[in-house]
Amino acid sequence: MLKNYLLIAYRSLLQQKLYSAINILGLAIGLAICISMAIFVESELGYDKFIQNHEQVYRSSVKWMPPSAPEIYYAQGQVFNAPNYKTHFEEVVDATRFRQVTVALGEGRESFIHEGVLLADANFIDFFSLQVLHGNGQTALNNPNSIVLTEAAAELYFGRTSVVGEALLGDGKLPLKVTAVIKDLPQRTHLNVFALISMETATTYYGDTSWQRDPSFNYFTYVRLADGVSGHDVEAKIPSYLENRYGHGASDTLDFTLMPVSDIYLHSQMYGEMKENGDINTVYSFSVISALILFIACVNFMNLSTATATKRAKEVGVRKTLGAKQQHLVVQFIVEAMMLSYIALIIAVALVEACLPMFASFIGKPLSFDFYSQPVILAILLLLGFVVGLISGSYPAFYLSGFKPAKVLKGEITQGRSGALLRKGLVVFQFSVAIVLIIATVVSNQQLKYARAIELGYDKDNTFVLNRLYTDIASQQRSALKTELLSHPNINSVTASSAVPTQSIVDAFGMVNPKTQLSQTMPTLAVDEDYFSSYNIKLLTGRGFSRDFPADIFTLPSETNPHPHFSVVINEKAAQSLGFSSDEAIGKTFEVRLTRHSSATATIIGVTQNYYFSSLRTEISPTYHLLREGEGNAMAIKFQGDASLIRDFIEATWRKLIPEQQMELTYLQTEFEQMYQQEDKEITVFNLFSLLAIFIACLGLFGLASFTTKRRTKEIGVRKVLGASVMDIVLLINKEFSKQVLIANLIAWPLAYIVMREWLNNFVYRIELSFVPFLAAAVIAFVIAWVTVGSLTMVAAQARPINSLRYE
Amino acid sequence: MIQLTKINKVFRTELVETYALEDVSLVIERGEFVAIMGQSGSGKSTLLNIIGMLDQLDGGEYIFDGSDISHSTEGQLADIRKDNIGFIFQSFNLIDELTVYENVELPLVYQGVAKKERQQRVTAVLEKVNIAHRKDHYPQQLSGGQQQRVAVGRAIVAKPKMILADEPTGNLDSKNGEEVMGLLAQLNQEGVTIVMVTHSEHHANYAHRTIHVLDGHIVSSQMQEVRYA
Repeated sequence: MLKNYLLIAYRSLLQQKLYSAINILGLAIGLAICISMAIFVESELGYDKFIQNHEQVYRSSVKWMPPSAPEIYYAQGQVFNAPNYKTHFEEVVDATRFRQVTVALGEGRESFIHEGVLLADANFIDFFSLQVLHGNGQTALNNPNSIVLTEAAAELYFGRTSVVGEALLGDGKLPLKVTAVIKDLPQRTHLNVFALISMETATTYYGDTSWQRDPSFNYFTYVRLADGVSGHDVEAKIPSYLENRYGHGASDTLDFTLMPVSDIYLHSQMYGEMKENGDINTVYSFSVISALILFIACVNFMNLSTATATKRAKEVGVRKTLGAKQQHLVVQFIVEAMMLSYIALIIAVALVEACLPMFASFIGKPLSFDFYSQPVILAILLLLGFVVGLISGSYPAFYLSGFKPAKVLKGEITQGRSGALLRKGLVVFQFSVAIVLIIATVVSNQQLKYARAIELGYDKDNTFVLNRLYTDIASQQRSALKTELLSHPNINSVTASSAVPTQSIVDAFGMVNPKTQLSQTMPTLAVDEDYFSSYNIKLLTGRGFSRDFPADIFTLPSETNPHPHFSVVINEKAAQSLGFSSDEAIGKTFEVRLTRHSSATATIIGVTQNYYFSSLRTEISPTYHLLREGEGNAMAIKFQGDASLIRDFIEATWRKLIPEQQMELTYLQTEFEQMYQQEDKEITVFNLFSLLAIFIACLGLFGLASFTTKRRTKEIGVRKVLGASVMDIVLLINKEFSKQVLIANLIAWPLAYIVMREWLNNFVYRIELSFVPFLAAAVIAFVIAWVTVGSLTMVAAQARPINSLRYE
Repeated sequence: MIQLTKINKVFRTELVETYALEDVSLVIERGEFVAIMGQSGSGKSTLLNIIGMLDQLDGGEYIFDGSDISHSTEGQLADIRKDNIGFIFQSFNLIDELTVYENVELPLVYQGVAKKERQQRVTAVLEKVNIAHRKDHYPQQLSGGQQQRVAVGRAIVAKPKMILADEPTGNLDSKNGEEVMGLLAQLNQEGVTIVMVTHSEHHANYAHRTIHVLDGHIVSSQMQEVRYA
């Protein structure tokens, strides 16, 4: 029986080449997108799963709730958080901390600075279940001046991995001994690890034990909870812990939150993340869109099958009179659908094989598709083909198999009209989806364009940035470098700061709000005297830092000066978060908590206008500028004239002054572009999806229109005999489809409005939704429908009427 | 009114070339009622289609109302057809989605006649073919005879000079067949030229002249006593 079904299926597929091709092509594209997206989603969801018992591992981050501004989350905590978790919370069975350091590692004078060098607690390797290749992971980070290298680091410095016992120098002076080599971390992790230096080394590295009192928020803190305990259980106890530690009211403005380690990659977008994370919304939206595209392709199948039903009606009649029951026929038609679905699946798999590497390299993710070695994936694929066949085949199967043999054989089934309403409904559905996607495409592109054109509040043009100036080697030369650079006639200004625009402000102190006397966090940016003038940042009131006022300079407490005074320049947002207007803020002093036992007094001397330091996705942070020349991690060089000449000059100057360290020079405009690179890519993928969805919907429309014109061939002939022109006929058929496109618009508009309003809410600075994208989508949908249907009708309408009437 | 000289019509398939009409010459005068008879496949419907400008000539000359239209374009032919010729088919060829009224109205719509005038003319024609009481019905709700009366109404509403009828009674019982023939005879009396293909000797007797076609040739053309209903 099955053989007979397959044979019939094969012949009917060949007989209706156009419809079969449309079905297979649409399904293949839909399936290919679905498979690619499933691979993408699976990859995105699989981050940090290599950590043993990862369900119990959480990252502690800091939530600051300023009284009159939105809350701010910091991925990093303070140096004492991890030990405190262990001593104050019985639910915490283990805790670890680490901080990122910028240190030039190497042997002798040849050294490299690399991202992912961490100053880490002794239990780091064990805590994150890292694989040790050489040495003892348990003890490798116990002693000062120990370094653990990843395979990649070992290869870079020594050209081999068996290097336990070898020596390295940090910043040309800090002796380090390789105590272990670990396997490179899997690509799918939010951690960025290149080498680990034992935490105990900090004393040698900083020259004293001051790091143990470091008030900055620079230490990532992770905890492992006892089995059966959830992050919420611990979070519930944190406020009382904070009150105990920092005094009454501390928990009003400060809180710690615990996030499961495997959630960090997709759910965490805090200040100071280790590297750029993914976004769960991308995962959701791509999943939904790919499912919709596949469904559009299934709809094509249903539509065309019921539309062409009459061709099969006679066969159904004959089979029924010969004894076939409805279930036989249902099975037969579903087998046909399955056959098409599996052919499409084979093509889809080939498409994915061919396109996945391109897609993976485009979105910059390691995606792989090896279904042949993984029976589970093969099984899922086969199931997918089955489900698609079932979805698209079931309605036509029941529709076709329900024909009454007596009527069918008398020829009383008229051209599948009973399914007409459903077919129209399905076309409306397809077009609704396509229109929503067009609107989404237009709006997202508008938003992106808007983000690029917004007035940033600082001048980012003609600016080179020298990074990683806070290694010992570089920081010693910082002022010499600045002087040398300024000697070039085309370099207008040079300014060093702890971060440059496009990066994030990650440093923060605790402070006491002078108005409310409540504790709050103070995001700080260390700058030099030329910062505001170099970037052309407008001061609204007061003054900027000046060499004429030595008291402006930020100093840490020391024995001779246990309670220092210094000046701050804040932005409007900070003034607002303190509860002052810009003018009121000037001259206000407040207490800055530098460590648990020491504090300083700061005076507000100026207020700048708000400027977009980071991405437009995040709100402008309240910012406290400190005059702190020793902290300039990055140096911005403003120039005029030929950029390449300036570049050469900077390079030559660097080589002369800091030959030990590789120069890292970026262009601010490029960095700015890169901030939106991920979004750009997502939008490109999104555009591609919309295009494919529209294409598949068009395929369906083309098929249906070709069926309609065929069904109405006789009518077209009659109308022509009665005097209709070609245009009359084209308009007639187009009118029918236009109604459906119009209804689709009416459904799609409110839907798109809601979806896009939600999407835009992700952006703090966003466009207003206008009617333009909606109108554009309507026009595009109509034009596409008219061209598709019109081109077919034109051919039909130009035929001589006698051709359609001859055999009547 | 119509002058065909040595016209040819060839149907080609991949393997064979068949002459549907070969060197056919025919003159039809204004106001004439001509019946075309012949066996199936003899070429009579092809001849009617050529006369109705629905099919292209493969040779010969066609003069309609004094103008040579042998080399006219599809568009030009459509215009001549629209203004001069009404068609009646054996299978009625009514449009299922349109009501009786709308079916009859259609040629006037394509001629660009104003709505008010259309209304008057359609109503008059529906009464003439005695179907006004079913004007809001759809074709499938009518009997074959009623449907053919609608088709006749549709053929005459644009006041054509000539009506071409391809076996107009072929799908009708004798009573309805007589009714339709009566209508055609009446139209002919009012001055409309009628060319009709038929299998029925009886209905051919309504015509002034019967032409017999065999294997693509006109084998006889005889004047006859006209019989009116």
